[in-house]
Amino acid sequence: MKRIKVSNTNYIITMPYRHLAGLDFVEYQENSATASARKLHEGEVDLALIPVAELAAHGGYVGLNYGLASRTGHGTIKLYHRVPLEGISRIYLYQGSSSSALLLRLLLKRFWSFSPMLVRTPDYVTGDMLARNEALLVLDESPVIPTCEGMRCTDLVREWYRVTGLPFVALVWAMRPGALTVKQHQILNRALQQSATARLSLARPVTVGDDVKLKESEKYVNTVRQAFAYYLNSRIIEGLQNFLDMSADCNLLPACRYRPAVYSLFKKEAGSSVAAMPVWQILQNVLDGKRLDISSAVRLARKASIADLSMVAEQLRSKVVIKPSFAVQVLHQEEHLRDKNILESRLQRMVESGIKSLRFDPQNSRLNKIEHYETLFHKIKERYGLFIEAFSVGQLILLARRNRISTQEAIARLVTAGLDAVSAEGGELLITTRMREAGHTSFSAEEWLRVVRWVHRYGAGSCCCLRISQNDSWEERFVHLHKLRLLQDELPGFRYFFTCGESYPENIELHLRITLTARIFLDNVPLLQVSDFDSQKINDVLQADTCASRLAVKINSKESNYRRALTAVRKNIWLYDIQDEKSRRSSVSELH
Amino acid sequence: MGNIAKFGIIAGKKVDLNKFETSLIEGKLNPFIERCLKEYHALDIGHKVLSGERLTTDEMKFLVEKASTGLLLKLIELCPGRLRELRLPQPILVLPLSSWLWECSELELIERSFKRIAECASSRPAVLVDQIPFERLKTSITRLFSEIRQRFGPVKILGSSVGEIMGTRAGGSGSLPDDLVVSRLIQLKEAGLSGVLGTAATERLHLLKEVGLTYAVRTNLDLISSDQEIVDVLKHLREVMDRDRTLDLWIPSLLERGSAAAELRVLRVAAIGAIVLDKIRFIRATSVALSLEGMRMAKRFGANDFGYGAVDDFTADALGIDRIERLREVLSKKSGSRSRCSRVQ
Repeated sequence: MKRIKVSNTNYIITMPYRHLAGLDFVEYQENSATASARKLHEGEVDLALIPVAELAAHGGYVGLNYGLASRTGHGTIKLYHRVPLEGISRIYLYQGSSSSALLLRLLLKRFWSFSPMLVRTPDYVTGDMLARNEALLVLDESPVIPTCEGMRCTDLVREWYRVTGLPFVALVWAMRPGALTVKQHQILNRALQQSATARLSLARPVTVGDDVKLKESEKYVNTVRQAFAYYLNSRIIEGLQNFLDMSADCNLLPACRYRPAVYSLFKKEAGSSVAAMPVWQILQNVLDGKRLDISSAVRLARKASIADLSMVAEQLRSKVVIKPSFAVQVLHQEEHLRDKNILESRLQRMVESGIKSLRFDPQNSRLNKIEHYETLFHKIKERYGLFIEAFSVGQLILLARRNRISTQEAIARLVTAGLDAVSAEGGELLITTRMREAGHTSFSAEEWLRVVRWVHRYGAGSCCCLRISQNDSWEERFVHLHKLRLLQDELPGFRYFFTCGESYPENIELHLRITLTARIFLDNVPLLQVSDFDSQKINDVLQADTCASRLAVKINSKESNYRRALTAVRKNIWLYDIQDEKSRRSSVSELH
Repeated sequence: MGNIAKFGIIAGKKVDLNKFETSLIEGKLNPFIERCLKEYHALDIGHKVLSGERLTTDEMKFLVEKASTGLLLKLIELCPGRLRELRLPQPILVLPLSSWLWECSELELIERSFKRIAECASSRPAVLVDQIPFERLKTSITRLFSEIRQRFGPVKILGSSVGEIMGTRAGGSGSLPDDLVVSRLIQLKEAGLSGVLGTAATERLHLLKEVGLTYAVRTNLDLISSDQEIVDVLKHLREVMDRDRTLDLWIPSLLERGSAAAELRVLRVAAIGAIVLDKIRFIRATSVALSLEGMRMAKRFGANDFGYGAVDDFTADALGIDRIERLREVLSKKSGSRSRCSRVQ
């Protein structure tokens, strides 16, 4: 029997599922819920216990009817706060929160009448660090959290139960159709059943600290027995579907029907009882403003015609911009920024020619004192008021390391000094194994996202991209875009999106198809940019014609005459605009 | 109909249903397409195109002036019976008679021609002569063509345009009377000429057809400055198509390759031509006007003939086209993504 990789979560409450480790065809591991979901998306495991939010985000999984649900409204998702709910201005979310964060957002949007800022935070943030009008969302696996003593506690699952009367499902065992054979599923089903009934002996809270009394510990175990369910019966699935439907209505998730794994007479592998939505209907939903899940996006990318994708992209673009704009940046090299006289003269020329955005690409070998950049950015801002884009994620990490400070602190200091945006370099495909193949070994996908999250948190922007490579699968591309989309939902900061990679005749259709479907999927990044727009390339012109909202051109700072260079750029763009003069369809406006 | 029925009959014409997977439900436009066409104010046009009905001049004008690229691509997909045969690029070789005829003797002319053709004989190229002076037609030219055929078999020998064959400026043959033009064309045919590469002279097409020479109609878009002129050209071509049934192949092109914006214009005009010229057999995408990327996209814009590719660098430079090997490589290679072991269904 082929071996399968299984990922359980590392929470106390899901310890009963450790029983699966005893099966001889299972390679068992434990991760946080979001890490389990990531591994399932990226194909590192075959079966995982994942948050329901990730189930809906993917859209292509089937469930085994086991997971973690709260029957009676007692849950482990707790919001600790000092003031009444309406007075909360900021809520800190624990690092791995997915279904919890989604439940909170649904309650905020649908049932509660206030809108605090939601901020994801490292797990070391505790209740005693909070300001009066701040709150902390935790996964509360112990009876009492010492640092939250004395604070009010709102049990979000109880709130859900109160407003709907239905159980809440936090986690579900999910897999791709076809991952298990009938026999494997039967064996796993038995093991999961045994896990569910064995929970009493396994679910004793092992992290109860010395200062927690035994009586409270026994009370907690009894609560677990009554409150939680591991097998998802029809009522629980009703609660799950209700939650997914409501979240979809509030545009927090793509629409998703929970699909149990079923087996047909002819197929020995698990399939799904629900027929796939026709492609035209998926496109219709996109135009209606509904979010696309990964599975539907892959279907679109494979089956929709370029014509249909173009029409949708054109209509989406027209909702955001009336006509495409073009943007010019002056690209400065490291050595020019170290010579005060050269720098000042170039910056002055920039201002005089009307270009307001500069891009700075430092060399890794010369990244040293952070104070140098702080002083530089401060001066540029004070004197010229220019928009400053500098550093990649890798360079920020390196700069922090060389200055022996945390990356968070480095970002905070640079943004305070005037850094407006960071580049997308290193984030072309946010799947760690694929990044290693491409030579990015100094940080993982999750680190890249973490750094960018800090950039956005401190008020600076960034951009995001997707590489064009025939070696990437459609699912990998959309898993990457899903990560970007999630980050943008939580902390908007991506100013635009672009595709990058070598363009050659054989891949022009693929390039266009990738760009169009990415545009459709990334519904919360409003602008699609053609970077380094070249009016001699039909690829760039096709993108400008169908889906791009911004055409970006860089001028090298060595250019002796920026005005002349800008005129050449305008002519470059105007060559594209020749079509406009003859066809009177669209034109391009300037934006620097 | 899914994967079982591959072909169906719509508007009396055989159509490939796989193309219509997303467009039709029981023969009618699906709600998504209807909605998009409404958004583009092109619903009537869409229905007409689907049913095979002709568009009016105003509708042609709308397509030229206002239709987005996405809309044009969709209308191409909706055209019924557009299962026109696909003609992949053919190899071509230029014999520069314009200089050789004056540089060398008849024997040397034949030797040079043989040598050039022999270097690429395995690819069986068409041979293009850049000029045919009439004073040498009955002597050197006829002998040359005859020797070529004897040596290399039934080679297709082409002249570049009616005007050039007549030794006049492009389009200048309009000033000569029809019977003189016919007599010269017959002489050329008897000498061994198979056809002409492209002509803008639509008024002489019926003469070419009578004589039995192959031809194509070429429209150079860089000589056309306004949308109205494009509409007028398309109208005229449709009239020629209806009247004489002489229009088999149309080439929207440029005098020489320009910017990508100009390329896109060629593609769009090709698409509009494919929609409105309902009786035409072939619309050519030529690498004179289009880059390799443009050639690759051309099929989506309604092109189904890919013209010629050069067998040597001299021909590539002389005609401003790409090499045949590269063209074939670009046009035949499938583009797709790696499929992962984990399947999203």
